[in-house]
Amino acid sequence: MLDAQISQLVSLQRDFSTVQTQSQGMLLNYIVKYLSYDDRYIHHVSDALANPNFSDVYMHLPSDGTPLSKIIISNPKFYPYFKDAVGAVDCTHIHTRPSDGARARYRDRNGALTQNIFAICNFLMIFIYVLSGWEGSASDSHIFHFARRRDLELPKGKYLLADAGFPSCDLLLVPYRGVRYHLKEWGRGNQK
Amino acid sequence: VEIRSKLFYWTQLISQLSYFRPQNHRELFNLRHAQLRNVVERIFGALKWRFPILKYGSEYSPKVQAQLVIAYMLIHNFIHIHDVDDIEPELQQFLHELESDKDTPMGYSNSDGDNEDGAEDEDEGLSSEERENADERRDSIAKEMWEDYVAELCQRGYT
Repeated sequence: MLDAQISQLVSLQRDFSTVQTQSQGMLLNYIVKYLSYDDRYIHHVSDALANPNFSDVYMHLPSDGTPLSKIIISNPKFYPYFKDAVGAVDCTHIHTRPSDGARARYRDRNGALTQNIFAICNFLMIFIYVLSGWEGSASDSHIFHFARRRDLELPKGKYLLADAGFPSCDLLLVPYRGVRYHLKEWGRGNQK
Repeated sequence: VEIRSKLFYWTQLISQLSYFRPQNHRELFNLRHAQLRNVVERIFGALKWRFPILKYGSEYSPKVQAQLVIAYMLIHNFIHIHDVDDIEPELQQFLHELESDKDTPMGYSNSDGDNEDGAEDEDEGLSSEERENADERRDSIAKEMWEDYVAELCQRGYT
């Protein structure tokens, strides 16, 4: 039964009609539950979602025609300064249980066994790129360089916001180092 | 009432102290950069909130886990794209707390060892020309921002 539902999900693709929204929401809740609680189907679900018919539609980098983000345009603090920013990039560690031989590579700076997940999202809280599977000991900038060599590309002139752990380069806009932070622009009492 | 108005006076005064405002183009740039970049921290928070398995780990092999993370992200996107109101009240609450947690005392970036994996020594084929261009781009954004900010400060009557 679940297999049928997943193939239905995969077949949805682009033309997702509003009429279906409610039932699709229910289907998703169902799948989310299975992903969390039931081991037997977990591979089916992740395989089904990894189908390019689904994954390329729901997670993709911006192309030349992608319009500027409304979040930026509508905010005078960000526009026009960050008009060419198409997203933000960061890494996050998740706990993992590698085989004994591989443990050393998975140990991160805090001594925990983790994998380091590299992801990019746009300003609407949608993931647009992900690279998973790196060992916890890999540095953020190392994974970035790998992604860039592999398939991470942006339209000309566009860039991503990154923290100071990443290199300053074409694709990334990083903060200045050694600068005061937690400032307020106008002070609390004067926000308009 | 007396105490209240005094309190109001003091908070007004403190909030206007220029010390807490950015003092140069670098500080202003970092401040706004952090505000905008914050979305990626919120999305990771939301993902781990929605799928606690990511927070607590699982017995699956690293390979399966790596695939699962992608699946979770796709589901996150799917929900978010088709159901804008999906941001459940609890998730909203969670994200709100995430924000307020960050209101820690003022300090200097990169002095606390956070996120310092030694980006300096890992150039990996990055040409110095590219780096210089990127730094120049950052400077021009920061300076443009600063000019506008100073102009607005004057307009608002700050000195």
